[in-house]
Amino acid sequence: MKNLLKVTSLSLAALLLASCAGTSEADSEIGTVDANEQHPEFADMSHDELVEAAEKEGEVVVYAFTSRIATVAEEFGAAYPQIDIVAHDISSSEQIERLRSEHDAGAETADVAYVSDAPVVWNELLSDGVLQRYVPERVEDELDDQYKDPLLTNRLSTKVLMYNEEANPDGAPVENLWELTEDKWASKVVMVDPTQRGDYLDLLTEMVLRADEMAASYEEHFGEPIELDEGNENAGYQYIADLYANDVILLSSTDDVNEAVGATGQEDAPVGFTSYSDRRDNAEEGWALQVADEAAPGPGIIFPAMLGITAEAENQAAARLLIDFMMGDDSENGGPAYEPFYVAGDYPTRNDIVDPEDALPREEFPAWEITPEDSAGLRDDVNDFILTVE
Amino acid sequence: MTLLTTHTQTPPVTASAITLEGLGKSFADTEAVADLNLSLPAGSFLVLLGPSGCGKTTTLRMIAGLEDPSRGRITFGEKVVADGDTGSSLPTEKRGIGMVFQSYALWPHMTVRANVEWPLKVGRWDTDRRRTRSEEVLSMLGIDHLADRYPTQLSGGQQQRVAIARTIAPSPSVVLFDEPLSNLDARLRVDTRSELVDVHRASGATSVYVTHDQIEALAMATHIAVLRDGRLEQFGTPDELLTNPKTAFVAGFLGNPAAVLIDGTMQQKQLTVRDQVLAAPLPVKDGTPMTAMYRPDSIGFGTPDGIGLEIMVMEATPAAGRYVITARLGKERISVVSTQRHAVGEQLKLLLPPEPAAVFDADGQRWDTGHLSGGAA
Amino acid sequence: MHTLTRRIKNPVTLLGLVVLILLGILVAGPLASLVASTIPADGDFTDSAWRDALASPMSENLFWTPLGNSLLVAVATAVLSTALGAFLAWVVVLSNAPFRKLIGLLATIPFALPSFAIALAWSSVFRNDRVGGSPGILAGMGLDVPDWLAWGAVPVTLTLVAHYFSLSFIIIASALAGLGGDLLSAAQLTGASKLRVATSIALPTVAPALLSGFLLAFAEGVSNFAAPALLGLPVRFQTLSTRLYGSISTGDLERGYVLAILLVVVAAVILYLGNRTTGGRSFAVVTGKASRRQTIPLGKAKGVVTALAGLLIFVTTVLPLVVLTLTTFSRRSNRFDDGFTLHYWFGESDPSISHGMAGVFRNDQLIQATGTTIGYGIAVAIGAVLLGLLAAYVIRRSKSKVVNGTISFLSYVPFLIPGIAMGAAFIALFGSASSPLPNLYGTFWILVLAGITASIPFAFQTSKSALGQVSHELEEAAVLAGASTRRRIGSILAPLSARGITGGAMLVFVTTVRDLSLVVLLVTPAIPLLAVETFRYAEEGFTQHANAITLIIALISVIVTILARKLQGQQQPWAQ
Repeated sequence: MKNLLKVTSLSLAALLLASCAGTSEADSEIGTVDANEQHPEFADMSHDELVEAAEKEGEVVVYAFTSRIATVAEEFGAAYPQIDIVAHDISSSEQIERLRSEHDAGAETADVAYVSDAPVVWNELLSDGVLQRYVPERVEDELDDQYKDPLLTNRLSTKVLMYNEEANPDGAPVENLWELTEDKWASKVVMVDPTQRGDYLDLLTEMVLRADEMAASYEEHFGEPIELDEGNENAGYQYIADLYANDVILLSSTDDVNEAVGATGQEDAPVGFTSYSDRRDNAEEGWALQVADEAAPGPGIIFPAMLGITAEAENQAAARLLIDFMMGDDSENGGPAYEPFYVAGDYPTRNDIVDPEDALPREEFPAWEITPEDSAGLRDDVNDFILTVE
Repeated sequence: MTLLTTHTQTPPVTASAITLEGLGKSFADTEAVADLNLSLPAGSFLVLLGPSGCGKTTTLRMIAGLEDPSRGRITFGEKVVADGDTGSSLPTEKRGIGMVFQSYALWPHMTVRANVEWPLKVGRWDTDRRRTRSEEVLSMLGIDHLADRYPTQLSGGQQQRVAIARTIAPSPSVVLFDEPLSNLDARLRVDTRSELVDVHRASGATSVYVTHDQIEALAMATHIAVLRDGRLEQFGTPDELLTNPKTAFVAGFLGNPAAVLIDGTMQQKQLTVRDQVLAAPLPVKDGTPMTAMYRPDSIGFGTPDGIGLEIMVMEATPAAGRYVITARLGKERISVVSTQRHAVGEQLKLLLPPEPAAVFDADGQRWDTGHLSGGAA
Repeated sequence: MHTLTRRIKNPVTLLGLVVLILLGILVAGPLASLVASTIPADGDFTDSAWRDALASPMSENLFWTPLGNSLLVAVATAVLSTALGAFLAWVVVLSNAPFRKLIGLLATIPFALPSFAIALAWSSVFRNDRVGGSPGILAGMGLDVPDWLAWGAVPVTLTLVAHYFSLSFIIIASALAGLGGDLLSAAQLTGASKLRVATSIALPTVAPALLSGFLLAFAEGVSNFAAPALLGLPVRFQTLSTRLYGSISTGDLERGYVLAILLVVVAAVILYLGNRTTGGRSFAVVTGKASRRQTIPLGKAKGVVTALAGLLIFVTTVLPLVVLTLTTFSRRSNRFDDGFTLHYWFGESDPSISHGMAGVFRNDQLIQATGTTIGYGIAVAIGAVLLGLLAAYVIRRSKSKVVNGTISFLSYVPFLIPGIAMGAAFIALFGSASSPLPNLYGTFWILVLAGITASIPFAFQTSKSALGQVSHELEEAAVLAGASTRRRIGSILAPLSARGITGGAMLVFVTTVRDLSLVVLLVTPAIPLLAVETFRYAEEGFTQHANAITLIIALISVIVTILARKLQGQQQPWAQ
């Protein structure tokens, strides 16, 4: 009933918006609003015209879920010195809250959002029109459909099991996720608190969604079929319960996890779930991060990092220009603009950009690619479940 | 300390007559002032006298407009300024009042001159007149050399004068004093007392002065209202109160020394103390307690072996060539004026005149007046 | 003229009305909207956040355990803060310990420090291998730091104590300074020992101040967010405030609001009980500096007592600042063996360090945040003190018991609302489409309004005591001079109470600028505040940046304190 109401009011809103824009069609089932339909004046602009309009605006504000935005901002500032870029590093969970609150308040804050947490973004921000879709014409043909609809995806990121390769020169110390529930790894598994960070919640949710695979791995590891404790509906939930019971250590940020797992000079380093791509900082930060890609049934998840324009965006032209910029240039590694994202462990969505070296190619990397629609329906339950086993 | 040489420039003031009718004030459960009636001629100097808690300050604050009466009316001249029955009340600032506070209430962040001039500024006097007037009152009080000091740099007596200067500068028609001398030492108090009378006369205002010190009252007042427990005991000129006290309280409170009061009981129609008859027969029931009043200078002393009431000397204070002898009579203390010094601890007999100056009934009301008005019996 | 019309015309009545309306909007409004938004529209609570929190399989971890942790931390913080504060106050005010003036000055500094400053310093020192990675200073030296000392209740409590003993000290010291010297001399003349005089006479006579200090520390402890957020998570030590933050920041607003209401209720109950034991006496107010009475010679104990007091001050004031300062220069977090650098202060963006984050003085966002923070602090200080003054003035002049009672109550209530719950309430009132009030989320003004509300109890109490120092007679003398209400306030009350009020405004500024709990939910990137930036950097592992900003906040607080003191001295030429 509630959903019906929501849908009704949304259609009404969409109708209203559409009539303003002079066209009448929302182009995906999730109800994405297309930014260029809202502002048709940009639809036919050439790149130079866009730059000119953006320079006239003189500023663009971006929320990004990654600290790499600082480097992007440097590059963007160098490329377009007339445009001030204001970059804020805000976790996806918080971005979603902020974007929604700011939208409700009609406050003009960010122009561009660079966000993960696809299940929530799809479910809440897109359908409410908080974020709008913009796909630069230049890259449209180089993207598979799922990476441009309902929202533009500029790369795929990961939350996977990583270990310290200095402490484990012979390779990953873990071959099966279920090992992490055993004494050997008590207090030796780190991750960010999934009740506070959406991507980690997605990771655990995916395990529940793939309960059958989890059950199979259990049997493979322990040699007997899994027996579920009371209240644990499937092997995924059982795994979460067992992991928490084994004193998984919760930290507040991915960087803390990297530091914990990766710092060199550790004899008894923990393992932890973090971004595969954070390996790139090994040299500078003094880390020895490496992925445990063979951990069965899968080392973790792959999820989209998406770009959108906010409904209240003040700097429409600059927002488009920044998104265009962040999709990289047409060289095979995306050029300096894309450099911060062109790192081993992240996967470009553009087909014309080749996968970075020093990491497993996408097709050989066994992590699970999440399906935002499925995750969305289960996340809250998993979150509540975690609260019961903490 | 001669002050009143230059007061000719003082603007003429029309003093207000003040009338209180049925005035009463209650705070929560307690009745601070009840049914107060008095009528004060313009230009007079009224002292509200009584022990602490008698309601005198509350009365003063009602006159000032700092408290609203719960009942009754206050009238300045023809004008009702507060009516407790209707709740109407003329705001303080429109009553034309000046007030000297017990603490002086000098604004510590203003110089002496600024303190005096500020009320004039509020009253929209122009700068020149302000300056002239402040110099006038400051020199009148002999503190013109202190004009640029701050109050905290002054002595108590100097602060007192600033407070007075500030109060009279705008030439109020009514000046109120709330125990202004209580913070001064004894000597200064006596000096300032006479100056205040001068100030009163020079200001041409009607003054109302609150104190618990009856000597101050007798020295300064044209009229005294003695209050006790929120009620008016007696209102009149100092002479009236001294010669003709209406109650035992007034008789025992006023005078230097106050009248001698001796408690007795009616026995066979006669007021008797320890078998000694004090007065001519009275038509009062036997066993009723009554009090006889004697003037302190009408009593003599006899030797211990003579007749009379037995006393023991506690103090002998020389006063104007005579002695005020304070002695214990039973549990009471009395003061008698004597030509002779008596040693402390000496046992004497009281030689009372044949008739007391007055007799009060058990309620402290004067018996003759009370009797005549049918109050006693 | 009738009484009623006179009352309405009376400027005090009008002021009273204005104050009541403002307090209604700022205090009653947010609470009401908080409650309203947790009540299901259909009245069916079976699926509501209330049930989640109180009676579901989640309740234990969502509410009950965090409640226990919050109470544990708060009580321990209150007890220790009061004990240490009382000890120091005794040393500084009553004893003849050397350096007591310096000790007294330094003892007020932790109050001006952000609570996360000490938590960050703690983490730099005690961080152990539970979380792997680079160890803290002690572990780096090869010492084995146990979990209980590195994480959870003990460090959370101790860091809060290090912060709030300062508050107890200020309150108790001013109460002790107000004691008649004769009182203590009389006790000494009986031949009682110094300890006995201190414990049997001095402390009991300042019992209300002790309790005030206790309850203030309790209130701060139960609602503090930064310390448990930074030091609790690795051992899953959750308090109500971290749970509340978690719920709201992941979008579970209702659950967050319910936790906020429960937190208010818990704080209110404890404070009410505590307040009742003082027989309804209101909280002692922190007023200016104390005048010294007479000193108690310490004799042989002098060395020990001075050393103890000095150590306490060193550990809570000097050490954290030194640790924080040093860490901002260390190339790698908490490592002093890896070289030093000025990069985190002045460095240009370098992709190889901290993901290309420039030094704090090169960071536009931080420079903007500094400006916003100062503006926010000033706006809150002025707003809160103005409102506090108005309220205090109405109480002073109005005779209506109802008006005075309501104003006093509403001015006290924000004290019971933990900062983070207040933030949640302001979002509910000023940030939701269903609220009748304008939507201010994402603006500077929601911060200012929330800041003012949180500061009302303090501003009101300070104003009341500042006005109380101006005797009624001074004002009545002005009434008799015919001055209007406005003139009376402007020419007499304001200049005379300026000292106390400036002091109050200054403390409001300091508490506002360093506070995180209140604003952590309200800040948006467009209106960055230093406290939130620090927290974010600390959370994301940019230790040097976080510590550097913390130092900036501490610097601002200390400078304001000194400036305000100077200003106060100049304002009163008559008080020489």
